[in-house]
Amino acid sequence: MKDELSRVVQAFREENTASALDRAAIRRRVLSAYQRKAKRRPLFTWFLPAAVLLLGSAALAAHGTTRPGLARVRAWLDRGVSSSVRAKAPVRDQGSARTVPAIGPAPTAHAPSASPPGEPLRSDGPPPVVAIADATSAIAATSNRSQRSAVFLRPRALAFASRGAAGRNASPASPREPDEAEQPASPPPALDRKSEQDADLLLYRVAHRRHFQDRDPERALAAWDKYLAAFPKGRLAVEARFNRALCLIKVGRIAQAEASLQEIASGIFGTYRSARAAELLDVIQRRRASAAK
Amino acid sequence: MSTLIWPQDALACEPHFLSRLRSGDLDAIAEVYDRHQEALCSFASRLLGERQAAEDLVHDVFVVLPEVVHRFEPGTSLRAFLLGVTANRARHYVRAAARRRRMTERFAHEPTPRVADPEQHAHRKVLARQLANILDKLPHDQRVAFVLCDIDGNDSSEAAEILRIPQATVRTRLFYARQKVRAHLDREKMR
Repeated sequence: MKDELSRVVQAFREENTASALDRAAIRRRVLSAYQRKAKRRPLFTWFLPAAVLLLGSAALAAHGTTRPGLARVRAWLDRGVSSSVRAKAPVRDQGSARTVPAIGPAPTAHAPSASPPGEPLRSDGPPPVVAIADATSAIAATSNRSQRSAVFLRPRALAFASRGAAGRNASPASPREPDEAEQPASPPPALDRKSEQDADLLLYRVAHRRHFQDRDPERALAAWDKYLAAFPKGRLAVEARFNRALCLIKVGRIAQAEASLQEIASGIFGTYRSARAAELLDVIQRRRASAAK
Repeated sequence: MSTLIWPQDALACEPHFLSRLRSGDLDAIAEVYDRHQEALCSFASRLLGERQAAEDLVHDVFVVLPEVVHRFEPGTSLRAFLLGVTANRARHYVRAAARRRRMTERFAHEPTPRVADPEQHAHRKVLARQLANILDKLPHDQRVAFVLCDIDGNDSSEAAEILRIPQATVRTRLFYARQKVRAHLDREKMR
């Protein structure tokens, strides 16, 4: 058996020698591989880092100027070009240095009329609240959409605000929405900027829920008042004023609503919502004029 | 473990030469190739049992040399180091060679070259192929030990130096490899 193994090994050894290989060809291949590497080296040492740096700085610049959410809003607005009135977005809120995006297409110019044209409005009594409120429904609907977007732009921040601002003493295992009783009437003085923003959003969210989900104008009005008392120059103060005006119309306090809408339409808070406020004022005045006839 | 220095290793003891190797200096690579190609080609050829795969393996070893040469300890044998690198990088090539061998055996239409004694040459070829097929069935470590010691003629201390493992491990692997080769040869004979 030993002979058999050695015979096989001997045959294998003779059959597979170094001379069986084309050593000159291997040498040429090895050296040409190094030459190719040497040619490629400048690409990796200079061009590639430069390209990465360029791309990185471009991406950073793009991120700094155009936020993805804002780009989405712009795309949406571009789709709604056919609308007769367009909100100008984004506009800078007067009260703060932050940019508040105006989301959602503007309403079609004419609000629906709930009562027949011939039906008079009483000029001496309280104004026809239902009719005006219905007339504002189209505006409110778009406002609702836009606010939903505005509120849920930062769900994490809101969740944090829910936990942080209202639930400091509450159990961390109960991440429920804070009730109005739990809300701070005004931001605590020690709050830093982020906490203040979170409290701002928290109050806004509560008022938004009262207004658009619960559809309770009385409580919503109180919530908007609370928000505006706490954050008169808050990030969403203009939106809150507009929504407050809608609530005032719904509860029948037309004169106060008009005064509030006049302020917004005059542009003292910026151009945001001024067109819609003017539109709503126009509806109210037309109703009043037709009632006077 | 003893340190083996072949005459070809004298150059590798120079630190300047090693730094040239590390930087991929073309002349240094060519110098190393010229000094050690014989041993490497022979080992690769016997380890893989196939010419094309062996050429690829040797090429691969020299291409990666600048990246692995930092593991080389000055004062030890560069040839042993290169053989160790070859053994380590051979795994993939062993599989490729075995696959190719199975393919060629399936068709078996290779032309036989003209030799002085065609019958003897054919018989040798059959035996060599038989061993190549048996080697394909061995685990890689046992195959390397068998080729280094029984085919290339290194003793266990040299193999241990090349593979950077204890001599006892080499001997154990060699024992099991021989056992399996014999068993396979017996089986072939029975057929």
